[in-house]
Amino acid sequence: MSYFNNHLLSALLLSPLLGVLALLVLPGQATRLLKKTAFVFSLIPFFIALLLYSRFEPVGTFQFTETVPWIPSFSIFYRLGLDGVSLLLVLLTTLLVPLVLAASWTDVQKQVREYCILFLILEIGMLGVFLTLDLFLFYIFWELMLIPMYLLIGIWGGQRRLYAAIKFVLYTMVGSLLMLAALITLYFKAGQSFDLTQMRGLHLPLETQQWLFLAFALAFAIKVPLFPLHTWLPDAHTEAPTGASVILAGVLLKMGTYGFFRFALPLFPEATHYFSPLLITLAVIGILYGALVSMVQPDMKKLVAYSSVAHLGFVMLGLLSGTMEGVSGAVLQMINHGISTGALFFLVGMLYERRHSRRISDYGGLASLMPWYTVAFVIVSLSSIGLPGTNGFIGEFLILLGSFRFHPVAACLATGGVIFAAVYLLWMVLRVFYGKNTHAENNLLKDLNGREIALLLPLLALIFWIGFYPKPLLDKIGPSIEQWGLMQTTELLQNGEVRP
Amino acid sequence: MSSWLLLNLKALLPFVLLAGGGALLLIPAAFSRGLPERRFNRLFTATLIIIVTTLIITWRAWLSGDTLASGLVLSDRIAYAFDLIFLLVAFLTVLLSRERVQTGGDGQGDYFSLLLFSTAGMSLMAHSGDLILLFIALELMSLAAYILSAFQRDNKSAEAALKYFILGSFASAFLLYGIALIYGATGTTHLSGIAEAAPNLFGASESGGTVWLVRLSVALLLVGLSFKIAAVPFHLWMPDVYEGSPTPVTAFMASGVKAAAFVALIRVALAFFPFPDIPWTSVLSWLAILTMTLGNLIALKQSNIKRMLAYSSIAHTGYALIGVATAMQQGAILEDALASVFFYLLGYALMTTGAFAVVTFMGQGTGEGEQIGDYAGLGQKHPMLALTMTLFMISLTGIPPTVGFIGKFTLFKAALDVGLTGLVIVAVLNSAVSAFYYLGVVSMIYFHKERDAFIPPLSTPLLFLLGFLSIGVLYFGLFPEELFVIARETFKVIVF
Repeated sequence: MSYFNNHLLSALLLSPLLGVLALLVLPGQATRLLKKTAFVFSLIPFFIALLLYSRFEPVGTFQFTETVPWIPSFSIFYRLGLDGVSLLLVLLTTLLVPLVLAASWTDVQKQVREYCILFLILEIGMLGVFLTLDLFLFYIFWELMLIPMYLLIGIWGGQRRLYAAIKFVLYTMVGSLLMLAALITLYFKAGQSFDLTQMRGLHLPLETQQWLFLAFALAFAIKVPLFPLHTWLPDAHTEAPTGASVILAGVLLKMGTYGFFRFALPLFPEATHYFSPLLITLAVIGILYGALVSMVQPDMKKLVAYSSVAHLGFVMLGLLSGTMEGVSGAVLQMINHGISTGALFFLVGMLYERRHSRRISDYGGLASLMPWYTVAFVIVSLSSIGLPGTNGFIGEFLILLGSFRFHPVAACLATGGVIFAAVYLLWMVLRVFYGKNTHAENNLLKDLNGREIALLLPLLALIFWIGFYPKPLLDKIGPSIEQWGLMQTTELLQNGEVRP
Repeated sequence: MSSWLLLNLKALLPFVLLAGGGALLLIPAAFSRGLPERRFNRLFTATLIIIVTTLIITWRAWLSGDTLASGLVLSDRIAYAFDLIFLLVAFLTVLLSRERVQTGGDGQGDYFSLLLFSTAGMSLMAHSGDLILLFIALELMSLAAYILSAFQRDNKSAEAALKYFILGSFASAFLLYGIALIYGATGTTHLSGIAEAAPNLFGASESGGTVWLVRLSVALLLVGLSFKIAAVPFHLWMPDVYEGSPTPVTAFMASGVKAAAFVALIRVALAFFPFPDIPWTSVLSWLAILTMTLGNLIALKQSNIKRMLAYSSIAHTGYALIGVATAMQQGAILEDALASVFFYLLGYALMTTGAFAVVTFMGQGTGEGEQIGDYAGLGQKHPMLALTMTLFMISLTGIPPTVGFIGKFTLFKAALDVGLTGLVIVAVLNSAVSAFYYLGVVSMIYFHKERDAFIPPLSTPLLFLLGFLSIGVLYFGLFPEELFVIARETFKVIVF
């Protein structure tokens, strides 16, 4: 038992494998059993994550660390650790995976075993990225997510799934392979070590920093996605099956922002300072562009996809704001976006299951036909807009407050983005739920069933809980930001000078 | 005199066993018309026994670390380590050949002997301390390979063999002329002699002409060896030969012949290293860039899987050349750079033989399975086979956690250490490009509807082979430490 207690993070990381093993021994035809088993086993990582949450001390250092030599010839260690930010992202991941498996109850009928196994392997990759403190291991987990996602989009996806899948892979690979070259270079500069915790005081010359930062930033910017590297996103999101879209938006996109938070900003402070005007500009363009394009989308899923570009533009703005409020808001917004946009994709998926259409024009007046669905959808939309009382408000407010200090123009433009968000989301809600229903098929639509309500409830609860009482989360994020040297970067960004 | 002979023969034990075994196996083959099943099985088993015995002896020789450098023969850890690759490749090829070769006809028994002769030639190449011996070994390996590539007994196969033979002989001529020139310059063909002659040659005042003689010699040797590794622009024979040969032979050539040519390249480069003013790194870098890029770009357009794998094989030669270029750079840590080449060649042997094994299986009986389209829907019809093929494709692309990724990682690491950043960036971009065609196969397997083609059940040797290779690819992707320690130990001491 003490072994388990001393290796909580490894247990967390490898627990999805238990699910994989269980699924392998079951017969391939027993689809209901497979889905139930996968769901039950996916709760194990969630409970371990809750355990970690209860034992976590918000002091800012990495906790529950594990260090095991793995490939001594290259000084590569199996090094895991958890701080406040990674804890929250881990909780988000372990919460979303069971919900995704629950949502796929009626959605996925063919090759169910492979579907569930791919999600569990994907979960290992995602958790690994958030938990690892060794650069090499980070790269392994980062790439590990590529093939499961490729297969998920390609096998269970929509019409243009082949195109979307290979586009996703190629975009991500180019970025991450360049990151690999940068990673190895960093290894040499850091005295032949991949240990992230030792790299904070490196003080590399500016030019070296700039090249390395660019390589890392490219890989992360593609994932975020930061304008103009976002073009893989609408295709991947729209063509992917519902569960994959939720995980893509809910967790995978956070890897990009997490990468900036954990690697690019703290390791290369001077380079960050140098490039931050460019990145902030791109973030703001993303906010406005994403919002404007969302407005004109006829397809609901694509609308939500472009809205992700806008929302993550906010997160980037917060990360680069150079203030405690801005960065805290950004981290919180990462979680919020996962919850809200994840919920939105769930909801769109539920509607699609009923009528096999995502076109806004095919719907109308659903409020009277599907009241509970409407309630859920409206709440989530308001959360996405950032209405006070919902989680989105806290995140966006902190980001705007934080970025106004040093980048007032950007903050003002971003505030415009909030208004646009209201436009595209509320207009969609108006067209889909209110007004007259002009399609006879809609009369046959059933409201949410018990399973769907059960899976949306945690997300809705979180929307309000974080909206009214974000303190527990912010308490955990704060010390981690201070400890992890981000403040060093933010001080630089504040004062605009290079510290010795 | 006789003790010298015995000593050298003992150092060449792998070669002796393989060549002797091959010769022995010719006897029963010669005395039978056609090849009844039982006799075939016996030859098959006998070949495996010979290979495994040699493998054990070679491994023990490597462990002992005994080195013999008699001028003619060079039996050091490098030689034994590469022997291990050759023997592994031979073992896998024999297993793979089980079904293919059985389709009756005269001379089928020669197949195993030829495989053993070719492997013996490879082994001798690794153990050569003298350029003429290297040449003889190269010819032994190549001639056996030429004949093996004709074993399909159809027009394509005959064309492949003839092309290989003619172009191969042409390249051998280059090699021989290069050897003649260096003999002219240094008065010796021993690698040790060549290395020693360097300071004397260039210290003298009349070094002008000698410099050009040496440079020309290196150029010609490089041309000859580049042909064998199929580096661009000497690669033109390869896709046709790979496509036309029987698939097990293709696997053998892709992994074994390539590794043998690489060890020859390494030996020659190391021997010539003391000569100043030979731009090894830039020449090899350009060779690497051309090879990687052209190989990957043309592979994108292929619809025949054997041709695709052939062009991708060219690309992988390019990646491995990065390691050799790194080793030749001033200030390089030789054991890291060359170990990465060794590791990559071994990993490549595993992945590529795996891929060709699946192709062999798919092409059984009806000769289909050569078009990528034939793999449509394999994911549903034959999930295990689909999974292994996906694993090999992922490994060839260089995605973790496979041996292909670790191999690329070690190569990039060594190259970045000496500052060859541009080369690494080209390699990295090429890897991304290669994802497109490797994942094209995966997409065909999983994303398309199944076809009606008949898939025979998996035979035991093939099952064992695929399982062994899959586990190998994953295991060395996750725990490469032991293998890498072996690789570095191999190159710790460089002798001539």
